[in-house]
Amino acid sequence: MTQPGLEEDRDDLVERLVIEVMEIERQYGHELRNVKAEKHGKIREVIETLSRVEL
Amino acid sequence: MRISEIDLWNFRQFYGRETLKLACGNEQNVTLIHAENGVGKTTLLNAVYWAMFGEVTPRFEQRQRIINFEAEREGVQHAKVEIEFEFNGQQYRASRRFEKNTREPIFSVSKLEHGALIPLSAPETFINSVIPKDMARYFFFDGEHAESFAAEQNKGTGTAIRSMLGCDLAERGISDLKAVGNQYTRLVSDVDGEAGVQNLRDRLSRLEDEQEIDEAALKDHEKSIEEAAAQKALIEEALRRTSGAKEIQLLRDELEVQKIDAEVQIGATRAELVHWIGAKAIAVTSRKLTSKTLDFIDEESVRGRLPSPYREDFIQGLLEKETCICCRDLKPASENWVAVAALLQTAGNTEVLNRVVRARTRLISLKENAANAPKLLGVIQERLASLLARYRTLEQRVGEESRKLEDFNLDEVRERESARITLDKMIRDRSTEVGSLRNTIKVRVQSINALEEEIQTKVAKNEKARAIMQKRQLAFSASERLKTLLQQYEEDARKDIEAEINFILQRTARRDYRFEFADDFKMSLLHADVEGAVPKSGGENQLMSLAFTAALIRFSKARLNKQHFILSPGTVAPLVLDAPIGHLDRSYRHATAEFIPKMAGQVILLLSSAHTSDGVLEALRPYVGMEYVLISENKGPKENKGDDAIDLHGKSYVRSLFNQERSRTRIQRVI
Repeated sequence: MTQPGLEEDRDDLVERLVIEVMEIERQYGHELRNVKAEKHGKIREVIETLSRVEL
Repeated sequence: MRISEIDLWNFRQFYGRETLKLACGNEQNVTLIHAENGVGKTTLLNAVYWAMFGEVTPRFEQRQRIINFEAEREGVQHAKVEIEFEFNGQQYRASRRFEKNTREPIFSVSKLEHGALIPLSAPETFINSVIPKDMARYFFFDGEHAESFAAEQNKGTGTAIRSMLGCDLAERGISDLKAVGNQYTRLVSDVDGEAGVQNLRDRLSRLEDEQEIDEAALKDHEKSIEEAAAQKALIEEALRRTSGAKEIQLLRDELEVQKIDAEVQIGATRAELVHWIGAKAIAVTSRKLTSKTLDFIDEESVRGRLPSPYREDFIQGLLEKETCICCRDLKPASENWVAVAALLQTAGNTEVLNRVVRARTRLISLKENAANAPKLLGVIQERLASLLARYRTLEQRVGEESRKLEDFNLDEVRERESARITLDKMIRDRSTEVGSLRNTIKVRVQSINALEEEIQTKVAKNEKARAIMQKRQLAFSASERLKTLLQQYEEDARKDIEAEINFILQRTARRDYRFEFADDFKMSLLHADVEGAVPKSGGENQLMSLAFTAALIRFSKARLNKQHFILSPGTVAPLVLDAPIGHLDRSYRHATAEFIPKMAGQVILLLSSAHTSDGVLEALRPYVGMEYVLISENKGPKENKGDDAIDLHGKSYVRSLFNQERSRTRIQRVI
């Protein structure tokens, strides 16, 4: 794969991650209890999935 | 969201139960409350805010004292505020109850169905979805607070726009992505066979932790500076309204404006000095060398011999023609030919000649620069010294005026000035810390980047470690992307709000003003006849801040129910305005009073008698659905105090009563 192609793929992954993270943030919304660990776990799951797609 | 009723039980000045029903009509959307200063206007505003979010505004004094003094003395152990409101066609009742000796007030929200109250399971979450706390502060504020938007050093404008833009979720996303990125950093050291990486990873992890702490501290400091600046602006505003102190404060305002002007000029002159160093310092330091080199080039004995007495093309011509200038033959390879050809070694060419000419030109320019440089430096230094002296004098005079207020013969003024000085010192100290934190963060970013690169290089051959670093990079890239997107939306919002403010000003201002945001969100009024920004009087500040508030609310309403991929939707809420037209002159008051009802779907307007003249009430009248008077009951004797009577709808209301059973504030309905 050429370098520009790699760049495009990476940008695409970043965009997809942004969308997924915002979806997670919306799910938790104005939750007052401490949900940080839960949210971080979900974000890591998304990153793992996206990375598998790339690798 | 529309509030239909506010119920207070022993809340601050309000003894027992006091109820306020609010105007909820589409046409008659204004609830007008007449109250003199110190009677309970700010308390009413804070009651609503406290009931919803458990917090009070920064200027609420003695914020821990929630229970009414008289009630507490009689053994009452609690205070409560309830708010009934409509949201998306459904009625709700929010209640916050403060119990003495308990840590947290009890908060609940119930749905009203067929007269029954059905409690919601997550009241805080629900209230935040009705009106996010970040947005609420721009609906429930007073006119004096609003005015501080326009204050020279106020940084709240940008925060207000960000809040109304609904950046909260995206900001949390940025923070969570960074945290996850940091978690991946820690995972790298767990990879077998990468012993050297562990040390680097530990250092990186430590730096990232420190960075997170400093970034949070920076945010806190910036917020506290913003709040302190708003409080300081309020105090100064109050001083401007206090007889006797007014003249001192106005003079101090003038001196502060001059100080800022001097600061700007000092900055510009220092920049000139730096420019002088860049442009002239070389000429001055190399003056001797320049002069000697030029003399050498121009010396009669070497003129024409520099760069060389022979030109390359001239020698080449002789060799081609095979004839010397003395007419001897120059047969190739002959003794004469070799002698002439040898001259090519030292012959000059056009390039060399040009270089000498350029060097000479540069030397002449250096010489000229050196000639006028000392004089120019003298002028700059003189100007800088004079500006610094002027600044010191102004600072001294500001100090003198402050001391007059510190020694003022009125407790209230002395206390305000003392609070102002404390706030001012806090702002200065915090600003220094902010500068230092920003610098630390900037430098640390470079160290983090360098360590990242080092780790990347080390783990390049280890598949597992490389994969972790890629995931880490993905998390940080997404965080950066979100940040960039927010900045873009913020810029768009700023343009929208700027256009809206100009639209509002066209309709309310008599003069042909144009509003403009600077890059740092500083607000300026421009006028064709005035060079630069129009100096802001109290009235212009108030007008501009009101226009800004109205624009914010409209912006939020325009985004109501709008689903966006990173921004939260806007909201609609009642606008509470305390004394919003105090500083406007006659010509503006009427136009602004006509405009206020259109600022939001529901308006709660608190006015003192000083604001109800000049046709203000007539302009508001068609929109007023409910009207109240706050009556101050005092246990003490009347002595020389006035009764603050007000005539409304043909009836006179005495607003200060004396020799009463208790000291408290009563709410009296007028219509």
